[in-house]
Amino acid sequence: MRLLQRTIRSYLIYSALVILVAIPVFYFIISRLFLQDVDEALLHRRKELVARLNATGNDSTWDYLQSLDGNIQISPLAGPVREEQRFHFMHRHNRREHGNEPFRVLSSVVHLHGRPYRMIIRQSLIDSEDLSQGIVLTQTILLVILLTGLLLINRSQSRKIWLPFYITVQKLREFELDKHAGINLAHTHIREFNDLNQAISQLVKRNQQVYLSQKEFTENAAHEMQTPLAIFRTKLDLLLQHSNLDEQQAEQIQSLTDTVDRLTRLNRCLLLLSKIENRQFMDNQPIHLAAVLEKTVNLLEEQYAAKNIRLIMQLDKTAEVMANAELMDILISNLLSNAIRHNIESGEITIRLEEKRLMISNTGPALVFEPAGIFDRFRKNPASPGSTGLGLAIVKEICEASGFTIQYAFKGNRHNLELSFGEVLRSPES
Amino acid sequence: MKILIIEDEQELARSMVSYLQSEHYLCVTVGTYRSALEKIDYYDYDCIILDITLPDGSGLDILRDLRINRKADGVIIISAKNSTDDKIIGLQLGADDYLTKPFHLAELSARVAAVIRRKNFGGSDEVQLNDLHIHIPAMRVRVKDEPVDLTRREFELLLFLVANKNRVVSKSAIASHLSGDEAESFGHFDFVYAHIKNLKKKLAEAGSVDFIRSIYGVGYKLET
Repeated sequence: MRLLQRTIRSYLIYSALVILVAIPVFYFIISRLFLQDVDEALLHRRKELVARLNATGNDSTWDYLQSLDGNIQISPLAGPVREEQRFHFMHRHNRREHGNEPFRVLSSVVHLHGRPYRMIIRQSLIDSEDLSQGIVLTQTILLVILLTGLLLINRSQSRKIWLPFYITVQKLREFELDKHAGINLAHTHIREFNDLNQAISQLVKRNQQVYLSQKEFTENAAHEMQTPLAIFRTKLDLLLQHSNLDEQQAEQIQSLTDTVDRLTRLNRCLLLLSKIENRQFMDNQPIHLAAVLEKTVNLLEEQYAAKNIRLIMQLDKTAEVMANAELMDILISNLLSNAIRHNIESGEITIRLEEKRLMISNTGPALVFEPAGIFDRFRKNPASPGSTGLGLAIVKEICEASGFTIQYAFKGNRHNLELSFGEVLRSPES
Repeated sequence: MKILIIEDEQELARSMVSYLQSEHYLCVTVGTYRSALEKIDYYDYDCIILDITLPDGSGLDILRDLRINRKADGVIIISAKNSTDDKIIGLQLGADDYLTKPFHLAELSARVAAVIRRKNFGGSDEVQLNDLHIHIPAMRVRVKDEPVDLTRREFELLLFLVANKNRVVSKSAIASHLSGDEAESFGHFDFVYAHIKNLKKKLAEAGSVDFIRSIYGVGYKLET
């Protein structure tokens, strides 16, 4: 439920309750006030009548009075009676206007010329009832208009007031830490939202700093390691020059050389990964993948020949992708190296390039880990401890940076990697 | 032949000097941008080995300075940054070659030899060694007058060994020289052995004495 609906709902419930309770209460109070008024008027009339009748009249005058005004009845009472007065309602059929006319009746015992009489005075309540109903109706209409107005104003105001909030949410939703330089939230006239925007901007800024420093750290660390590795490697080269080297020493130098080679590979891969992540390969150009594949196959000739691997190629020479040339070289080289490394003696590699797809499959033993983790970093086959475990992670990273998708499947003792350049000729960053 | 090594990492500079001296180059090392500029102003070098990141300045500025003063010294950049941009900028500024750390001394030596050869002999790229006669641009090798038919890889291998003659070149260095990082990623260099075997066979068939010696399988040495 939206905040706006939530507040409006509470208002609506409250307003409805107020109206429902207010109308009967209001009607009741108005009626009571009228009744009091009518009662007072009746008492006043009686007082006036008694005073007048005592001054002037006799029984015949009273009869005359009664015949003139049907609302007055005076009848003598027999015996001594206590003085009393009592109000009550009555309804009487009225032929002229209303079906049933309500009356307020004052029935009291009065003494006229020292004798007790019952005096009954009536007053029609028709007018007052109409009036009170009119008043209640007017009030109700006013109340409804007032509340609806308030509700509508509140709604439109809320929309306007919450607008900066929705803008902020939209911007946060679109924000990507690795793609945007910062978040730009406009100044609003509402303090709370300004506070919110400020807090968000600061949070984003801090995150970005952490992110950048982490990115830089990987890259710097890898860079910093290059020089010590260079010293290590050159010293080994020098050690190899000793004229009286014996076989055991040579073996040790060999093993150190292998180690430093491995460290170098690892370091280059890490550097490459962080550079791809940092989107440092931006200049895209149309690339003929068939040419890249042929070039790489040539470079790796010794490697697959050493394992006596049969290579089957079906290349669509026109296949073209929009990508970074260096990354494509690395991508293809990693894929092919992988197909050679994880192959069997006298195995087979099939390379099929179509307009929007590249499929590389090779014979080889099944994975020892879950296929889903094949693109994870440092996930490697225990059978080839010398590999960095970063080859396919780099492939994945390059695919992401270039807008390709890659899928792995193991079918019929063959590892199948399928790359689709779904959105061909599209720059990944634009 | 005079070589100036501009490298702030002393141990690395020392290694380079030690290796290159055995090729009878005269090596001078400096560790700062300022001292490098001084040396360049006063002397001419056949080859300058230039580290890009120096404590008090950028090696790229030294390159600019060289070009402004129309110095013809050959320059090989050695950088810890394996970045194409740096490479392109460096080569645009007139560097002759670019090598990423960590490199093999044999590779550096081969590059230095190539730079000096291009600079000193102009077009006549011919090398005479033992009974071998190598014509580099044409990729032709003769033993005395007998031509040897080498594949491209075998020719590159021979040239690499010649550039590092009388020194042991590790299999790892040969592998990365022949097929770059791709070969390294396999961690085994059986193909180096295969190429050496073929090269030796072809040279022997042409009547050459066997002068490529294997050093316990770690590397190979071309002896003169």
